[in-house]
Amino acid sequence: MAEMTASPLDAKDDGPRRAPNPSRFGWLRVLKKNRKAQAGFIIFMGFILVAVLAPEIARYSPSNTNFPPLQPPSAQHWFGTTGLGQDVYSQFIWGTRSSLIVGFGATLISTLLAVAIGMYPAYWGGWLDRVMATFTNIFLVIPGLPLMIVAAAYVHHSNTLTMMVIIGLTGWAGRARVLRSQTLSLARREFVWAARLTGASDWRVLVHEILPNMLSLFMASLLYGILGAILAEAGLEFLGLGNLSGISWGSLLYWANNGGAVLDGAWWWLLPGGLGIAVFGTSLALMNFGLDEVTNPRLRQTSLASKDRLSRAWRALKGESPQ
Amino acid sequence: MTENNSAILRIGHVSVVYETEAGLAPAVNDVSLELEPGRILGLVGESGCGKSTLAQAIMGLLPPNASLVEGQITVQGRDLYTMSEPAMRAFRWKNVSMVFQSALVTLNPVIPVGKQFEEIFTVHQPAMSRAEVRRRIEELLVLVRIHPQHLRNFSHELSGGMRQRVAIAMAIALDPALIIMDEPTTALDAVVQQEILDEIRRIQEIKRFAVVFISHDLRLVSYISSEIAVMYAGKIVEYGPAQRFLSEARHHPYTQGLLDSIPHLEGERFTIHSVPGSPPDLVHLVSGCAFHPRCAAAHEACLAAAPQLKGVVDSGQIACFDIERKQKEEAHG
Amino acid sequence: MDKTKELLRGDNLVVQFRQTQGFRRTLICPVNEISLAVAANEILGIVGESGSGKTTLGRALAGMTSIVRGSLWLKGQNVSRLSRKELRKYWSQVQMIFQDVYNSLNPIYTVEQQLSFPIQRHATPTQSVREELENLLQITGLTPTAAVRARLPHELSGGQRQRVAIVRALAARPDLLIADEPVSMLDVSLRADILQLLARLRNDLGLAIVYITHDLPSAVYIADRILVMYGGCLVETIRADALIRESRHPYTERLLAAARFENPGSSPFSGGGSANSSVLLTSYRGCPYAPRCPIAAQICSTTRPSLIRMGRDHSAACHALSGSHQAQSG
Repeated sequence: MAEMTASPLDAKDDGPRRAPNPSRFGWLRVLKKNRKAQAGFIIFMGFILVAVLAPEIARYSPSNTNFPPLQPPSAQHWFGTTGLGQDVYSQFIWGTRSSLIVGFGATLISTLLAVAIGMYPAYWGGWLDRVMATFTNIFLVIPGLPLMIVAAAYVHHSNTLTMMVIIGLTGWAGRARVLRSQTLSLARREFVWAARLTGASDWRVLVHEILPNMLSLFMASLLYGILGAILAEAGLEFLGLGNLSGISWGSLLYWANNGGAVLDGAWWWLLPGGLGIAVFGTSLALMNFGLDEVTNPRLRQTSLASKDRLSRAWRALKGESPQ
Repeated sequence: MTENNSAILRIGHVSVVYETEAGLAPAVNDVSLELEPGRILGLVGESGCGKSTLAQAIMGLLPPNASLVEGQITVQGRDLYTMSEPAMRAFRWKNVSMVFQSALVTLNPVIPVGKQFEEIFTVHQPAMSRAEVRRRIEELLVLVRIHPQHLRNFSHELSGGMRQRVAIAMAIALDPALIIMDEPTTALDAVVQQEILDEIRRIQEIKRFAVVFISHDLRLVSYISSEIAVMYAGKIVEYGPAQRFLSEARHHPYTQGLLDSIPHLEGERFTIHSVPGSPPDLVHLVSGCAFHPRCAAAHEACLAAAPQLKGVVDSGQIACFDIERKQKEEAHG
Repeated sequence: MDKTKELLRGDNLVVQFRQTQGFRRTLICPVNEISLAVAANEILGIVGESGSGKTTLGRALAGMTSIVRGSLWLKGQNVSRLSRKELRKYWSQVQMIFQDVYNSLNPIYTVEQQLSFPIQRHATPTQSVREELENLLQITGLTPTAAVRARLPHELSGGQRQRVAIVRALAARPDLLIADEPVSMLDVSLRADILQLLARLRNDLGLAIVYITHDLPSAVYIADRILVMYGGCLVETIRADALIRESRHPYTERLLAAARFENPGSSPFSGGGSANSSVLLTSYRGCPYAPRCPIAAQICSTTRPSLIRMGRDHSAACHALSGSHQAQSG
């Protein structure tokens, strides 16, 4: 027999009682309940809006070089201009769009890989799992950035798609391992076996029984995946290994750095790219903290019963109820 | 229960209340008990009846959302709840100790068993020399029939029965006058369970400590105990010498339900029944006798007021209006 | 046993696991050359302690663990080695319920959501899923059905959860239900109802049940025949109503004594009471019970005894019963 909990209120066999379900779509309740998650979500949606509406809200073409160079912020150029005479505000808006596209696209690729290499074999078990786990571990010990640099240098003219693929292909291993270990522990639970015994296909068991039980972990992995991909993209662009004809937060930083923004004191040129990455990353982290607090009960605040208060409440209760 | 000065454990009108999201839950509700030295008190009931909470209250180990709101508990005449935190800690292992259902709770998985034994002595009896501690530990192990070679083992290298023996040895290490045993054999196989029960009885006869033995299995409890208290919804509904529960005595309907739910090997083959209905909702306790929704003998009186424990003919005490009435009828007729 | 009524038969079943202890890899054998048969509409009890291999045997019978040697037959068809697809067909005839009622239901789905897929999959065209669900909830005593349907697992008591698991198993309309310790996680006072339910399902639905447990009295109570397992081996098979009087194997005797809280006396040092895992090793050749057996002789630790027929539906594996044994101690 398993542990019997000591307190009668956690006691497992003491009849039905209604309480909030800890696992069911916890990540949706997070938004209702958690301040951090709300703040993160609002910032996140703000960036999404900017990316979607980029053609509408950018004031000029980002590649237009017809403005006076190195102008500080003004009414015409809200974020000033670059050393080549481009509008930084417009570059930032368009950069947001392409950074997010690369970030989401790469995350999609790494998620598919993580599910296919981490989750599915873990459920299937046997030699397939052993091979895939070894493969994942090999990939994990290869340092990510150098690998990306090599890959990016190998592809001479990278565009948005190749950037996504390079980042996606190098970023799945850590997430695959997390998904694998969770799948392994869930696949051993009796309800998964019971589902198989009812005749459910492997695909149905995975999608209908296992995946919903690890949604919060999956979401967390997704959020960190996006953050990692955005950072990787910025890193590659900053090193000049990205799509130099494109505009993103990383390339904004690259040109600012190469154009001597620091020497010229052109902070307005340097700042937007870095801030974009930092604030967007913060929004992802905030959502993740919120998710953690709601789904992990240990982080929740518990109220300590004060003896006096409970005694009074108890006496009041006894006075009211017929004894 | 009669006033008695020799009692080692005295529980007087104790209530323990939990604060839950749903509201206040009285897990222990006006319970009074006394335990003489060298006796074994069995505490029986379904999960959620308050037996484990009572044990925690005796140890002064209630969880943070629970509180002893009424009554007094004294062990060897001393009230744990008036002591300072360090005094309480010193008192705990030395005067009253505990054996849990799973020894994995008490045993640290990354420290060898022997080291954990030594810690008990270094904390509570720092004056003892290392050699003395060694000798004492080996004595204890021989007492629970564990070969001292196992001192070097980690807890996971021992079988469930051996772990529980080690836990018992640790609990008696400082010769406490009282040991609380919370479902100590529930996780074990039948044969091992019976061996551990015998072990407890044998050691108890040597050391003469008192035991509060908690279990959901009335048959098991009546085997090991000298007295038994049956709990339901935080109250004691029946109390008496253990023989009562092995014989055809008159029982509280709930006790009778527990007895009828266990298959026997001996005697006539009878149909077993579970106690009908579902366990009580402590937050929304019904008026009157808490058992009346599940009781076949319930009548109006049971809905109006809660029955008190009253003596019955064969030295037991039962809290039931139906039995009171039957006793009265017999007395008159 | 009547051959025509035979539902499931296993011949010399062997299941082995690899085990890593520190740096040593060993091969253990939790199911060691076990032969058994389950008749239609029979309740077969398999009794043993933890480490006896009873759960592994149950899982092997349910097709959840692969059999290394030996053969398994369902209604005359060889089902020893099934592909994933064939297993799904097998599971429409053989179902299982589990010990851990807290893990056997998916925590995020309501009772209705848990049950509609299996019912839908196995329903006959004339029946609506709703009717069948209602019917099964009634049969298993999950009333009021309307309220139970909308409950999530954590809102149910342990007994109710086990009933939901039983409904899920019944949805497949199986011929055989393997129940692995179905009540051992429940309060003693709640076990009776689940046992009664299983007995009733056998009578009303014509189900055969393999009841796996460590609790001998409950097996004697519910089963027709009992297999006693120890250390991966079958040590005795006997009719349940004859077990108390006629059982002969020392381990069965020990189980009976434990159920009566009798102690036949024990050694100064306990081996912990439960099966020493070394008797499960494939390299061990003796009787698995020898290290604990009060009447063990020289031969017991070197040669494995085979099952000897003691009477109708009764056989036991013990050297003391075959005459090849010279008792050294009483």
